[in-house]
Amino acid sequence: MAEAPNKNWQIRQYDQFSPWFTIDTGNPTMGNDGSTVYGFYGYSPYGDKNVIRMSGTGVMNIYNDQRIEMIAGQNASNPSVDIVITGKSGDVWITAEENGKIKIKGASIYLDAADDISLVAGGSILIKAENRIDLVSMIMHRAKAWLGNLAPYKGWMGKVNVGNFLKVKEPDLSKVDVGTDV
Amino acid sequence: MSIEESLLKTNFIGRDGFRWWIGQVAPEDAQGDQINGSGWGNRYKVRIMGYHPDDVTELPDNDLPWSQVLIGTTDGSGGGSRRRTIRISPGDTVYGFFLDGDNAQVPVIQGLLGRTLEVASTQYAGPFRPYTGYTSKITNDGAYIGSSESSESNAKALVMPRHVTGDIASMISEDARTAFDGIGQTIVGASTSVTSTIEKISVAVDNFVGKIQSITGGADIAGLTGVLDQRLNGAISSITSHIGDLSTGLVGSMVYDAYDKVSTLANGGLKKLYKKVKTMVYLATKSNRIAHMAGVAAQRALESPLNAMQTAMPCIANNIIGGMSNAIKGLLKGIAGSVKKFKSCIGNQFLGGMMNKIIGGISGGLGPLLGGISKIMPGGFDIGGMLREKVEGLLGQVMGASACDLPGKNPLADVTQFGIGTGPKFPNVPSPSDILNEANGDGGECSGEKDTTCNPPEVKIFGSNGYDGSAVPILGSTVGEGRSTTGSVLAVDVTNPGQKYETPPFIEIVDNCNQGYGAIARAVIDYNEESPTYQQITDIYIVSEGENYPVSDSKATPESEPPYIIDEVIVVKPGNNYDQDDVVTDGVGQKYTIQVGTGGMILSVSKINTDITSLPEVKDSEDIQISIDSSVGYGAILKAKLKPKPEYQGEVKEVIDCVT
Repeated sequence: MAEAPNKNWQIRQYDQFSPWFTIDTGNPTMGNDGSTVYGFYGYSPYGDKNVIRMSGTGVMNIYNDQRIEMIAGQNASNPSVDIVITGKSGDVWITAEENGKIKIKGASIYLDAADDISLVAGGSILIKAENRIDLVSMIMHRAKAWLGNLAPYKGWMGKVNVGNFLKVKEPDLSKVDVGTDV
Repeated sequence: MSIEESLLKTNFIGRDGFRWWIGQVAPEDAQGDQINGSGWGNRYKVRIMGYHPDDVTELPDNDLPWSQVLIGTTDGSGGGSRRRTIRISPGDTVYGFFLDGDNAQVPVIQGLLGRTLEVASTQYAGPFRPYTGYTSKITNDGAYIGSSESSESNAKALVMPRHVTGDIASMISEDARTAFDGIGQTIVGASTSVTSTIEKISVAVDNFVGKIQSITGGADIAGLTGVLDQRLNGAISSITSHIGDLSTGLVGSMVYDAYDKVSTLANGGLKKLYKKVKTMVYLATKSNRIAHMAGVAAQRALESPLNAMQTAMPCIANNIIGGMSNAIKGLLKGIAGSVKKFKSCIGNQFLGGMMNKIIGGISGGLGPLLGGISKIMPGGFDIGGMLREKVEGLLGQVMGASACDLPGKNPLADVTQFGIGTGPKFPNVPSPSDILNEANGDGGECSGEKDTTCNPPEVKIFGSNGYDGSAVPILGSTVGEGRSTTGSVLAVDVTNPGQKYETPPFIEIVDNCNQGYGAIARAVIDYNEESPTYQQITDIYIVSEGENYPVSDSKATPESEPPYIIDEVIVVKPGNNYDQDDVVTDGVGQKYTIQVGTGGMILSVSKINTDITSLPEVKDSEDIQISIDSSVGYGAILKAKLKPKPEYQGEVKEVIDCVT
């Protein structure tokens, strides 16, 4: 292991309050995303770490070993926007690793996609409405299933027109050509 | 002090003499409530050199006078809620003066001398001997922030955690720690592609390996006890559940496809059976109707076993899913046991093991049921054998399912993986054949020593819907010797500009040993629809050179490495207010002129007086630093583009005009 020479130590400044909290700025040591412009480093008595940092390549990292709470609008006088999370150019990724669930709750939930909305589940998908479910679409199709009432989706542009109810694609004897002639 | 002198005292500081002193802050025990939240003012017990004896029996620490602390003008007194805490520790060498001059009873601390690495952080051993500022309530074992008590101008004075993986931190030095244990782990983004199931499982296993290494510190898991054992089992339990969930869809797809194949064979067998029976009966009866009825009757006789098979399918899937948890846990425990020797193939091995479990479950569940329809199945039909032969096809179907949605879509068009601390990652998805090899036990020994032959890094280009882009890194700032030589990435040479890039693609620079870190590059594409290079990569520039990348043999022997020169300077950000006369200079002394546009933005940069006989060679990062000498311009960022130094072709002796 060899570190690159000619690092700029002239710009490095730090402020250490205790072993629990340090502010480090201009640290030229190399990280995965470059050197450090500034970093706030917390370390709890139980060994939990917290980092808020800006890298030399402009990336901001916020890492925390335990929970992060972001609550806003407690005393907002009227309904307004309490929290805004926006990606100005690229994706916004929200993932819950391993067994975490993602729960989104609100008086109303809007999913507004300029392009597609996709729902994929390893298990089941439940759509429940106490009042009404409206499906408005030019084309509806399905790929495959054990049970269903639409035609199998086979390849590009496989589709069923509105109003058509075709044979079930399910693994029953309809797959077997009973009585096929010679 | 004589009576005369005493009578002549003014009792105003400075008028009765000003006495400086230097001393040492007494140990924690002597500071009493002053450091335990019940103090008065800002004061410390200080043993002052020349005034107080260096013997605690003669003058115990508790009997030392309190020294007031003078606060700096930028610290605030507390007035108007402006203040800072004092940062004086036991053992600190402090200096100050006496408010009461020669009476020397009211000392004031004005400042302190910083500690150096030369001073050992040892426990208190007696007056005026250096000792630690750590106390019974302020401890630092160096588990995260360096425990050195030096404040000197030295890179080693305060060693901060590094933004690298724990593995690399431990290679950097004994003192280096990772800033966050999750650095280096991979996140797989939400995706509609079934491929992502394979990807997610593979990444989950890789992350699991990282987590186990973090828990065990490289120790054998057999020796883990107490909280470490608890953390290990917690990690295994958590990821078992996670992969179990992920495997549900995989099992469903494979069971469905297996059934599809079996039913196709059964269908063909039924046709043959019908034909065979009908032909035989027809020959015997010469009645087409009777022959047809006999054929149908023969098919109907198999309706019951076929129905049984059909009914059993969901149960078979459920049974496999139900049993996956134990299988997954077993596989993970095996990985945890050999985590010290893990190689990158561990994900494939795990997936191979899962395939075996699923194939075993399908063949175990379907096998007995197939007995009832054996007469219509091909001779010697073996469901397990068929699945094992077809697993690549099955996986191919599973992994390629999304291709049906968008035919011909480039699998690297989108970013699917994100590395914590590194950013978007080139997706490393196991191929069906690799998984098949592992499932069939042909993958070779996966748990062996890690690769020790480290090759120079590769530049991986992905995302933005484009494809075919390729580039190679140009290494420099090398350190070390021979095969242990490492370097930084000074520049990137685009070898293929690719096509159809809608936005600049992502660039990842990695080596096979994952030993290099910190090289970050960005691509530039051509947005001009009229240009022949439209939607192609025109440049890749480095924003962080990184370090510790393995270099090639030729680079390790500099005389055999082709030298590089600065070919041109590219404009990354044009800035504002620049003047046409501003001059640009690179680190090897070459000068350039700039062409400016509206608002003084730099449009392009041109080299002045290119003398090809003496092009200066670039060796390290300082050589490629580009500076702009401008009195009013601001904000421009220029980067050097490198190329191998061209061989000097000699002077031009004669110019032949072939046109006129």
